[in-house]
Amino acid sequence: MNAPVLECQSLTRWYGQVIGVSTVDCQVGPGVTGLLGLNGAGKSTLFKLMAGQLRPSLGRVLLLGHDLSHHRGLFRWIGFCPEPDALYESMTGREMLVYLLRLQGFDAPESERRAQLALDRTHLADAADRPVAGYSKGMRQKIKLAQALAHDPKVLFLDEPFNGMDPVSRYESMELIRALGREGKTVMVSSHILHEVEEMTSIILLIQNGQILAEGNIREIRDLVERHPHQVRIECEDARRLAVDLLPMEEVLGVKVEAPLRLVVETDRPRRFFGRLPHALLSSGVKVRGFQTLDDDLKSLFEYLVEDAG
Amino acid sequence: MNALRSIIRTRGLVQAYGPKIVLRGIDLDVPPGASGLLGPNGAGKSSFLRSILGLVPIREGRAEVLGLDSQRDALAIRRRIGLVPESDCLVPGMNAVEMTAYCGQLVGMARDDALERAHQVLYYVGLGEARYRDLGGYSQGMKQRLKLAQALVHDPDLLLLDEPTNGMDPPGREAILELIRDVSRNKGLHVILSTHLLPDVEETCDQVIVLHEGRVAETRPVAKSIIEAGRVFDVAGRGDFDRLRQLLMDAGHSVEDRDDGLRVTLNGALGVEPILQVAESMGEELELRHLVEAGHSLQDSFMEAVR
Amino acid sequence: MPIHDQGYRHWDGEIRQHPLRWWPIAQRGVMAVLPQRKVILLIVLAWLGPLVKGVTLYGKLRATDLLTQVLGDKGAEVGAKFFWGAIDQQGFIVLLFVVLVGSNLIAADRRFKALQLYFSKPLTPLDYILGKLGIVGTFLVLTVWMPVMLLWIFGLMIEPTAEFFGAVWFVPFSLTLYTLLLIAVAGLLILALSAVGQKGVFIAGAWIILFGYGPFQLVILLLRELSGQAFWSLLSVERDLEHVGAWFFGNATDPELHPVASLAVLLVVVAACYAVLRRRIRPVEVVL
Repeated sequence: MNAPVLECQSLTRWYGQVIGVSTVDCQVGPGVTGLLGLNGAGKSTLFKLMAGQLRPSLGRVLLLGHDLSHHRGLFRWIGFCPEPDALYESMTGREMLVYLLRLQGFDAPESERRAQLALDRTHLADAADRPVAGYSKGMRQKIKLAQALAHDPKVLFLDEPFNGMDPVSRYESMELIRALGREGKTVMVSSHILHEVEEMTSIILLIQNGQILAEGNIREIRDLVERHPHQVRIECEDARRLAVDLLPMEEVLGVKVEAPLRLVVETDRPRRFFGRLPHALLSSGVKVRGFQTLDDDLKSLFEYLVEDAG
Repeated sequence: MNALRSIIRTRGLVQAYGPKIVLRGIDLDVPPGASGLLGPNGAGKSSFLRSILGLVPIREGRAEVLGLDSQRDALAIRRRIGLVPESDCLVPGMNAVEMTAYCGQLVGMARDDALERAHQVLYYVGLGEARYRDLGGYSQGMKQRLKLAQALVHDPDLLLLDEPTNGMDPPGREAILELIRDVSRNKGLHVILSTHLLPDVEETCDQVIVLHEGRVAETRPVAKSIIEAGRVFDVAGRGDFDRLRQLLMDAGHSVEDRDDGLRVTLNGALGVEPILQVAESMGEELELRHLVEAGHSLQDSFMEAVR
Repeated sequence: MPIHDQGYRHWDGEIRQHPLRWWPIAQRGVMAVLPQRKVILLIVLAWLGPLVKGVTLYGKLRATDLLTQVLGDKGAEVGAKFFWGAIDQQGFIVLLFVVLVGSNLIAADRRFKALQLYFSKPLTPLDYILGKLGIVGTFLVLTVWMPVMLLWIFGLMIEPTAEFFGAVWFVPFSLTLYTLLLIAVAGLLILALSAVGQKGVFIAGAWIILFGYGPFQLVILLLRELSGQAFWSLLSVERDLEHVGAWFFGNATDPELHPVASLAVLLVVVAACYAVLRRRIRPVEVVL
């Protein structure tokens, strides 16, 4: 990775005596990054700091190598979709976008053009000329998304953008975010629905109590969690016989027969185990229907990390 | 509890507000157990719930809940269901015990019964410690738990939930979903879960109903439907998947890239062996972590049904 | 020696199906309001007037001429009119009480979307309205019906003569009838306002204007004087109530208007308020 697009250096923010975010050091590069954490962990505070909406108490945010609090011009490159739902109710969606684009400094025709583009990308074109007050919750989220990307920023911060959207809108918006990532934009997105984060990216930033708990690739982080052995469920025609054949493998911690046709193998050395599993299955001779790792997903990872951190 | 073939049964159900038709003839037999109710905004989910609760007159057709007619026996139905509404709906100035007991009384429980049950269900939903605190200071997660408690206080036969995990973080969601699973699988309550979150349905329900533009677009079991047994597999893991793809194609199988791995359609013999053999030949440079028969996911069939 | 399930347990108690489904709403509402200090204070205040009336009653029936002189109204005989006076003097307290207790009853439920909770239970909109009305009604019974009733009993105790009984025997009936009318009119009016308005100030203001106090009352009086038409007074709900109430107690106060006209106006008000309530409290909005 070349120079990171976004860098936080010892970023700290207090609210009076309450700490919102504490000595956060992190680098975020192009592509989609999922920001995860419990309610109250500091996600929204971090977003606001990174987007320059809040001043840090200590530390600084570097955007494209420059300190965000000293270079107002950098705001041109930031798109922010905040979580609270505060819109210009009496304007139509289009009017609102054009108005915000004019504030960014675009001339009228250019603002119209970009507004249309943003409406198309967020699948809002049909509702563009209706007042925002009549929008459904999902449409309100979409218009917030549209205003975040209308001025073509390099960095986007999206705080719970799917909240209240129906499945179709979620799907479309997830596609949009993935596309933005592929286009080389730096997108940070938070969501409580871990499945959806997983579908958009494999890079996460997990914060807990205002501090970074883990960052990087989900799978690499998972392998670092040694306290929880990996569990593999195997479906086969004779679970007991297969259990006997697998137990001698030195990477195997234990085998549990869940049902006559199903067993779960535990291993604390996943790399070697999975490398050798095909051979072990073939040489056992028991007919196998398939297998899957049970806790290889973001949900388990989140659980393990947050639980262990207390 | 008498054995019901379907907990909700509708025939030609038409619902309209003035000239605006929202349900266009729904024929549905919801089997016992837990069902997810899905649909885009405006599909008619809310209208459907309203009409089976007998809250609005039905324009045409009929609806039965737990064997009771939704128009004639609306109050009897509401004695046997518990509803967890989507919005906050809790007025500050009461604590959880008062609130829950009050809801029990509104259903028709005697004051003492309601109080005793309130304590029980509040412990059950995990509000035991907080039950004497004013609910004005509750967090989102606690409010959701309280809303569940007030719906369970009279031990309903059918639990209706509208977006019960809205705004909750992953552990909070998991806790609510676990409670729903428990009452549905271990305690025999029927559950209807109306939500926009497909993962919630996957984790709690046995079947899904997809509504679209006032009609039933699809009903199916939640378990993914296998595309073709023994022939189509999804593989995922770490290591050199480009090479794996090449080797599989060389062996005559067709391979398609997926988000997190490959989808392999076997050419010739059925079963996992051909894939395992290729993996074995690559040695430990390949870590095969998933090898499962491919199916249509809920997401796939949902998107297909509403498009 | 079984291990008992600490998780969810079934409950096999009885769910009652009685027509008084609204009762828990009224009960809960009263219990929520009653412990408030300002409410207790107001109840105490509400009993001061009748207490003074009690002393007066004793004076009129028993005490010396001197006392009667001090209290004025010399030689006035105690009859139904006296008890109507006791009710009439509660007017201001009633106004305060109804605003204090009633203005938030439906507004809060609407603000927090609690109607959803009510209508997911076996309740009809009428049950809900009756329950809320019961809360207002309880306090009107406490501040109007009860003190005057006690006053009447007290009167009979110190003057247990056939003559006195003959003059006031119908007071309990008139009192009950009037209280019911008061609950229906004042209660439904405040509930309707509570269902329409959001802010307490708005509700209280609208209540005072509609109920016919303050400047509005003056305007009505002025109109009546200027035009010479008595029917203007019908516009004041408070005047109508007073008119009908006095009539129940055997003496109409306004010779130019027939009490039945006032009663008709009141019934129209009740019907209108009920219609407003039914429009604003619709189970349609329950599942959104």
